[in-house]
Amino acid sequence: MIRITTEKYRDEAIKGINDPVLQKALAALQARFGRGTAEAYRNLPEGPGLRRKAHEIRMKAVENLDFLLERLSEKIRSRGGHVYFASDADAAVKYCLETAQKHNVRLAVKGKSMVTEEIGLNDAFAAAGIEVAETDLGEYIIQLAGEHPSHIIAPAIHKTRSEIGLLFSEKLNIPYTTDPETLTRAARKALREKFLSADMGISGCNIACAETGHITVVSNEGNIRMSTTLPKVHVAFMGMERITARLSDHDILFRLLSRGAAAQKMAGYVSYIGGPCPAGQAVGPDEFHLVIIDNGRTKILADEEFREMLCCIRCGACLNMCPVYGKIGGHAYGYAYSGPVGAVVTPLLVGINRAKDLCLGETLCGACKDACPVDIDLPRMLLLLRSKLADGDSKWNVRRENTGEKILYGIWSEIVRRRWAYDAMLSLSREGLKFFTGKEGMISNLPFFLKGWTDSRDMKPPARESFIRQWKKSEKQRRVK
Amino acid sequence: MNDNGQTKFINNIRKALCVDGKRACPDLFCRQSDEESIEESVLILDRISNRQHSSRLQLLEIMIDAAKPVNLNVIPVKTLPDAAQEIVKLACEKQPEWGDEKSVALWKHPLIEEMNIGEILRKRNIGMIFSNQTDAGKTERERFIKESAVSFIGITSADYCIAETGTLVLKTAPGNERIVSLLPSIHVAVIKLEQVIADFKELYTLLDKDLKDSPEGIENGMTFITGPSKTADIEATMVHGAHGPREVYIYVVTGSLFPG
Repeated sequence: MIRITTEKYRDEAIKGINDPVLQKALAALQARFGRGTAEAYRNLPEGPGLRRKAHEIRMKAVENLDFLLERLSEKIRSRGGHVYFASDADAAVKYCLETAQKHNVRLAVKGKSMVTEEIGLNDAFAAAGIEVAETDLGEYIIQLAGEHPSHIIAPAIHKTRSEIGLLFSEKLNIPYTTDPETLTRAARKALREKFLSADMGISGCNIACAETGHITVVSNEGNIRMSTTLPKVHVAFMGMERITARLSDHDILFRLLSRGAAAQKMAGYVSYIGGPCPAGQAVGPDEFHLVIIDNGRTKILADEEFREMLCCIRCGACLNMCPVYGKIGGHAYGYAYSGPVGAVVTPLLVGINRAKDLCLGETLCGACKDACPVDIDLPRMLLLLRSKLADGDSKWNVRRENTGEKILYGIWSEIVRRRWAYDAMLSLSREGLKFFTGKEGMISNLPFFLKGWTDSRDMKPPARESFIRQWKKSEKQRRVK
Repeated sequence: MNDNGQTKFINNIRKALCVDGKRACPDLFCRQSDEESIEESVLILDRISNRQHSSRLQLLEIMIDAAKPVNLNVIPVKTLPDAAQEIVKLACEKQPEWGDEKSVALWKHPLIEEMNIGEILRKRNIGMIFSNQTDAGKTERERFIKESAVSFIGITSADYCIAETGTLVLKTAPGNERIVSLLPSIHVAVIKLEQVIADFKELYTLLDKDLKDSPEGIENGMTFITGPSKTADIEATMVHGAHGPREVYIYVVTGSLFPG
């Protein structure tokens, strides 16, 4: 049920690069949010250094997850809510599906949640004959088009207004228009009916609060408020790490989340939900279920070098800065999480060998670390993943990706440590490369595994004499003078 | 015992953290452990409670500025009856989004009752739906949702309002239903100037205090609202009124000392 296409990274990336619509959209997205977020950090009264404080808060939560989750579930159960601990995707999906079937749910409305993408919830519901309506406008467009999101925060960024106009005129029976306001109005009307008739609401969770026992949901459209208020059953999903100890931790975390996600000072709506509709209250779900998901996260937790990744609050800020994401788009990453966050978290969740291209594709430029509201050192972990691919790793069950390369570098390291060997290699290659040097004195066509060097650029042949030899010669001449 | 997988799940986490299952729970929730932050909260609470009328008015100015970029209307009024007049004027000007009939949904809240807006609305033939405080039955509840869904204006108060961002903080409570600020096309909030605070730091300090003084305070949940519902999902073009209210008005009752 879960769609993982990380093996197609190269093909999808090439597709993305050759798609002019996507290129334009990505450039506009990064220009707007990337720069906006950087400026929003600078304008913080505490300065960009606040991100370090946020990192400490998140890390402390991750290191005390056991207590925090116990407290959260105890609080929610005391209000009559249900808490289910799902060790993997299947368990989480099964629990939600059984809950839906118990209540004879025919239509569920859903707020955007990456973790439900991770576990493949929609496909499971479709297979069981239950309609799940995505209600975030971007997700709704993608669902109508039968596609998958390409950005954590702006899922439909790869679609133009005329494509959306065509889609809506066909699926919603409205006259063709390209006006975003009219299109939004049409979606508002169609989804309003769904909100009012749905039997179940499904949401994610941004950052739960252990102290008070609430989950929180954040949106700008108000769709998540609708999904969690109107239907009689609410099922919320959270990755087990999405929690903090104290209520007051949210001060820093929400301010940074809003800035990271959309360069806002504060998101449009933040809701605290701690259980079903209490006595005396007229409106709210009769039943509240919280599904806490592991699905590979304890393995990340157990490795101190990757533990930091669990601080992530899935805001998408790193996507808006990443030069690689900015060219290839989200679909190449082949799973729920794209961009730099996907390049680290996806290999850890689905297998490092299986998703190797994701971490090999990034540039290590460090832009993602500067953009991260909780100051996660993504480049460090990208390098770590690469070293595991180069050497193999038993703990993560990684097999060495390229033995030939390993041997070659072994030989190389022996050569560069010996002057005579290095010189011999230089003169050998000088002679050898003569055969590949073209008319204009450039090498543009190397054979076999060396092809990569000249595939997209020409290479200059080595100089006739090495620098060190030239230096020595000129030194002699200087002395003669 | 069926604990929905909790024991095994938590044990796995403990194993991953390499901690002994019997370790004592660290001071994760206890505020007493952090003297510096206690001192800071005392200072902040003092600052809020001793705030002069003039600096509250300054906060209001800051809020009016913060409201502009998020398309939020912050309108100072001198008295509650003034607020009522303004709201009725708004109700007469605006047209309903769904259907032809004009109706308004209201919180059952002391400030709104004091405003006495019902009589004026009735005179103008505008219907009213009140959040029902009594334990609502199933049919009652469905009726309330249905009627709120066609209301074109929802009137609430708020617990706090944050000047820095123009954020309304609404604790859910009987009579203060969350759909009144959600389903109607226009959300109107009426607050007193004393409820305006500077920033989120002040908010969370106050909430911490509320947590200690009246633990039931946010038990039923809480909502922050910053401006009208919005989306930029079609070619990153900003459109207001995606699913929630398309317009939001905050009327701030300043008392007679407001110079304007």
